Amino acid sequence: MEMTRRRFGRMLVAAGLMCVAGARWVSSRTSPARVMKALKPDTFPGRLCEPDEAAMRTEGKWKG
Amino acid sequence: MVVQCDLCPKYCVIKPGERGDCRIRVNMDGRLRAVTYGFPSAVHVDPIEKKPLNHFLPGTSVFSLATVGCNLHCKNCQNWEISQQDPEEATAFPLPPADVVRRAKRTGCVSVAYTYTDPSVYYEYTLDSCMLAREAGLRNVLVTAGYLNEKPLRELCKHVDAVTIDLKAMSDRFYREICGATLAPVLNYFVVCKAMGVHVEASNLLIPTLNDKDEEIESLCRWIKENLGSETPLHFLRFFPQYRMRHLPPTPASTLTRARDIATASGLDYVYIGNLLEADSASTRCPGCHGMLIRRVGHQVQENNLVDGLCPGCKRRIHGVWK
Repeated sequence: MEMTRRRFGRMLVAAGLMCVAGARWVSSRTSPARVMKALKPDTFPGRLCEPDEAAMRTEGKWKG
Repeated sequence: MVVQCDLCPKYCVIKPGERGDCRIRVNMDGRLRAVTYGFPSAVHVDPIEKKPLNHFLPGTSVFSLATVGCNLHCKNCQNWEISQQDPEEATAFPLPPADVVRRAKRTGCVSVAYTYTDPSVYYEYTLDSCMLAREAGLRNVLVTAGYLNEKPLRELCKHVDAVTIDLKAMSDRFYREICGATLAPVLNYFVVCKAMGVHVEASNLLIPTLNDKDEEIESLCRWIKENLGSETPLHFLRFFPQYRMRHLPPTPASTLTRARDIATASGLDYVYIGNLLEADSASTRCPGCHGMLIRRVGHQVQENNLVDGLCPGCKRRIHGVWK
């Protein structure tokens, strides 16, 4: 097929759009998404225990 | 996907599978999760004076809780066993916000304190609990180092009644070298809380040779007076060798009384000494007639002479939340 001026222009625009889309995809993978509020966890990663009812009713050993 | 946590001034950039500086905000498959939400590692009923808060519902009990994690890493941390602990190594039990309120009421507390480590990092748990507690008629108290960005702080302040903020020093260098943080956001925390109508008290742990010079104490008192008002209660706390600062001695009693004298001379109305059993060091006197208003020994209220928040002697209104 013969390369016309119009056809060449279209190819140039398409290539440019592909470059923009590619750059946006790469930046979405590398630049961080900004988040203020975190989601709740599914589970606690540490050890789970039963609440110590007696200790809970008394003054804590911790400061503050 | 990489996420940036915008909660505190550290703005941690967290890759999938990794965690922020506070240890408890984790990037799980591109989503930020607060892994200690609803899982406190310390829950107790304390006297409100222990926070320290001397002008907020004196003599009452406060339901106090904390999860592990902190966004500061103070070398002198007194609660380092939980503040500097990874959640994977921690022991906790499930206590969703609704249960916080239920247990607080069941134990006869009139308020809930988010304390021991730092409520800034278990922010979502604090916020949700505060909202439910308020609905149930309980008051909310934050005990914090004040290292939180302004936007989340303003949202939290809508549900908070009192805050006691640890102002570690008036030096950015101190914050960077000893705490791994910066000073400016902490000062802003004070100003925002005050502007939003939250009752504010300040504490300052005096560490020998590091932040106990007269000029530093004067500068701290001047800042409080100019930015928060002379009525802001200030607590000087005694340091004890802890964690990564075991080479320094406890703060001498003379340093604490000198600090109190400097603060009083600077024009602050209510100055207290904590972690030291000394006669009247924790008692509240009227700044007008110097009459005894609330006599305390340690964290215990021995006598409360206030009448509707007024000095019974000279009828001066005493700053605070009394009922």
